[in-house]
Amino acid sequence: MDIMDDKNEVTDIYIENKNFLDFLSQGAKGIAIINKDNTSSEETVMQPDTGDFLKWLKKNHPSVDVLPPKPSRQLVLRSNDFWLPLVYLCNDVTLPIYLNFVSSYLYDKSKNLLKGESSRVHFTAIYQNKDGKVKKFKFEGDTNSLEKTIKKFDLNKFMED
Amino acid sequence: MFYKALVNKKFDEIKPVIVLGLKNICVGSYDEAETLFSYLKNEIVNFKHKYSSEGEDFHNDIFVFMAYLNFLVHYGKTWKLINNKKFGDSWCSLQDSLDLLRVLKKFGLKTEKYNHLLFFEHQLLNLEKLYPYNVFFSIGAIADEVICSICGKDINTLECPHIMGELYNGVMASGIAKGLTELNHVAMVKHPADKRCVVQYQDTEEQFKFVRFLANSLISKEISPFDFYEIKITDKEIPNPDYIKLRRNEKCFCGSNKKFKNCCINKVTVKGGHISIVPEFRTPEELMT
Repeated sequence: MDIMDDKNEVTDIYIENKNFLDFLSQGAKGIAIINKDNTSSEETVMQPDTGDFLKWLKKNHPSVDVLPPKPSRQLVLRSNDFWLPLVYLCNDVTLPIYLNFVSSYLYDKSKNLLKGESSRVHFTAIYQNKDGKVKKFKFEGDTNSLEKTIKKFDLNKFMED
Repeated sequence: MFYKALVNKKFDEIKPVIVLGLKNICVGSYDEAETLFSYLKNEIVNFKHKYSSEGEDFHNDIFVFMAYLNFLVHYGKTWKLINNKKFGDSWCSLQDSLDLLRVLKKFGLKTEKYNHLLFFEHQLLNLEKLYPYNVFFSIGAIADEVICSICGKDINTLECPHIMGELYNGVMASGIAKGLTELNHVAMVKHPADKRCVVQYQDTEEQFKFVRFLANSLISKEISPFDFYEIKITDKEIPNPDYIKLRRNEKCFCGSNKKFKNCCINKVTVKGGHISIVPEFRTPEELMT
């Protein structure tokens, strides 16, 4: 997070991630919340809005399996942005579905915004595409930018990718 | 304004005193306004104790009611500090007011539905633009755990049923970071949680020139706080403060090493931001209808 924090950035790239594949091979379903690496040490830390997002998913989408993160220390930021955890998406929760979850979460959390204010969100999701390849989707931007991204990732186009 | 009829009735009862407080702000009697709003806060505390056996909706309404009265206190304080040319402190009070408006919006007092809140929201967001702050400081730290202020459990686990920022029987759940043992970073940001973390300027410094202009207008009674509605920023040609008229073939004053005639000869004026205060004249009575 830096002084240029108005930028909107979306990346969707192929990666190798043995942890994710091992996780899928266990027959997991739904969403798994993963702690992120702490850049200044070797431990993993929880992103600031992890607990809030976890509870929101449980309350608003009770039919979706959500695996909570392992207990760990937490990153505390004095930021107005939403910092969501890294998630693994199992095959029953596609990326477009997850993007809509994030969009709904932001909508619910933005009820206190004053005129002209908007929310910014940072999140990463690792998922498996139709061909069984692992991809990492990373987003950083405001709600308008997220809506545009969701439109680009409509389900039919996503399944063809 | 509120969910419970009992609380709405109380609000209607004290509305004339609120209008009187706002009138005091209008004429610059800021201390009198603060006294009135503090009196109202005590009234609501007593009201809460009288009906303490009422359910969660009542207590949540009281929380919002107190936030509303605190907003009025900080609103008056902001104008008092501007009037007294305490610009650094007035910025903090302005942020207190805006934070309280966000609380009111979150818990159902939609500013669009209430004339006076809509006015205050528009006015204070425009007032912000007069200040020199565009960049803020934000820390990142690692905490061992974040404890719920209500149940004492880790707020990031499902063992804690509370959500940060939500109301439970009139109390807002917050997360208390324990074991902050590692400062991870300090960042300069545009969207902080707390806009009070800024570079400090002295109240007499040039950076506060626009707020100072507003303060002088208040002191000379040209305008009152309720007359200030919004600002318009336009480009305007202003005399170039660096311009020096030289002979045509002399080296230019800007240090480019070019001849004056090939450089800044025509830059007698430059584009500068011009701020106009756009008034909208309203009385407190009109606002509260």
